[in-house]
Amino acid sequence: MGFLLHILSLVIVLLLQMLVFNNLHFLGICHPYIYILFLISLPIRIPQWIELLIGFGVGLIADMLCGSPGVHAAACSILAYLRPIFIRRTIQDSERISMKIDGLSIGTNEYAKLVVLYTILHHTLVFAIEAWSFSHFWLLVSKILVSSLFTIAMLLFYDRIKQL
Amino acid sequence: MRNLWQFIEKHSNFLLLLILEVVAFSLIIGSHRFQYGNFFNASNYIVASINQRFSNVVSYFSLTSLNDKLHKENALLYEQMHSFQLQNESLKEMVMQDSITTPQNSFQYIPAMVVDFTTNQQHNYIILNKGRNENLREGMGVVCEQGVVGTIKQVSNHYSIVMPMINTDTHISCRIKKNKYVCFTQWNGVHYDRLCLTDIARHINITHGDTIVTSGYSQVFPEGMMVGIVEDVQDDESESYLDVQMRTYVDFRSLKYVYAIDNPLKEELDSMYHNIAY
Repeated sequence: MGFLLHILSLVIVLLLQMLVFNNLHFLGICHPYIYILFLISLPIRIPQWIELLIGFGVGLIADMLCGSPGVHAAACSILAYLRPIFIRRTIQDSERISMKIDGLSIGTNEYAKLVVLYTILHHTLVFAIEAWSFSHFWLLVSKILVSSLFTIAMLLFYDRIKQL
Repeated sequence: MRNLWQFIEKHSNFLLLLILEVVAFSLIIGSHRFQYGNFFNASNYIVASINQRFSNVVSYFSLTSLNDKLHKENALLYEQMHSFQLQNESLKEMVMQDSITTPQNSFQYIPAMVVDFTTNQQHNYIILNKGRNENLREGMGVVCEQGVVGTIKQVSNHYSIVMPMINTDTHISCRIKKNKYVCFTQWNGVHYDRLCLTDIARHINITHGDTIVTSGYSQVFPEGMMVGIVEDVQDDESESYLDVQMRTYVDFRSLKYVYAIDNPLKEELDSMYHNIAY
């Protein structure tokens, strides 16, 4: 049942990404990737090799949606590899580690830290790999910052709604 | 060997990550060399079809605003068209006056618009939107771009009634263009685009396709304005004149912009005729 729910949430998140957020070309530099919500909210207690494969698969699907073969797959695999480290760093209270990852279970502040870390790393990787050079460095930086801000705002807003 | 196995076991996740990264970057580099795999072609088809369906649905919501936009655009175009029409009219007026007020003929053109007209009566009429206030007077000729329309029968302050050529009482002096032979138009009251020509003797060479123009004798119309084209000539031995049918240049059912012709010299000429009578 939990597995099916996860599949459903993946489909919803990817459809949202494809139909709404991919069409949001605010200022030409805002390309938010909200589908990483699925990767953040994966259960903690799953073997890491499965997590890596899931990250790679989700990245690959995101690549299809965005028309950029390999970029998201590369970024998401790295994120999946680093996620346990992030979680260990942000959640000091080890009793909560068995819970699922959202603001209610691990605390709003901890969740926000996790989201910020995750989003900035993901967006940096994606935009840097996509650009494949630093020749337009400030454009790259502004893209990363604006898009990350937007994604973080969306994810925290969603978390706040879920808590109501 | 055992150490290697232990190393792999210890760092299995990192090795998996490396493998995945190699795959991902080979995809990236492959795409940079425009070597999209079949995988991505197939996925593009699916993604495109979903996008297509979604945009089909979304486009319905924007139909109202689109309609509004088109409506406004339409109104703007109508406005522009009208202003261009007015501009065109005034420009035409200028052109006409310039080319006509040359020393040899003193005809002046006054533009007017058709307000109402009939074509299905014996005594058809056309009403113009200008009258005495705009210097229209009884007896003036009325023409349009195609040719002769008729003469003004009655004027009020703001309107005037025109007797078109398709009125059984109208007779306009014309001539056959190729041999300058003078004749008169007459309407038999049947077809709104057919006129008869009277007073053409049997020896006159007139055939289908000959052009009929105004004679200029009456000083109502300038000489050489188009009246019509000969359609049919019947030579009856018992009659002294030919029975000639002519098609008018002007389409009386689609008249919109016409010009009344003012000839200031006409009064002078009329007084001369008056002198002849006595």
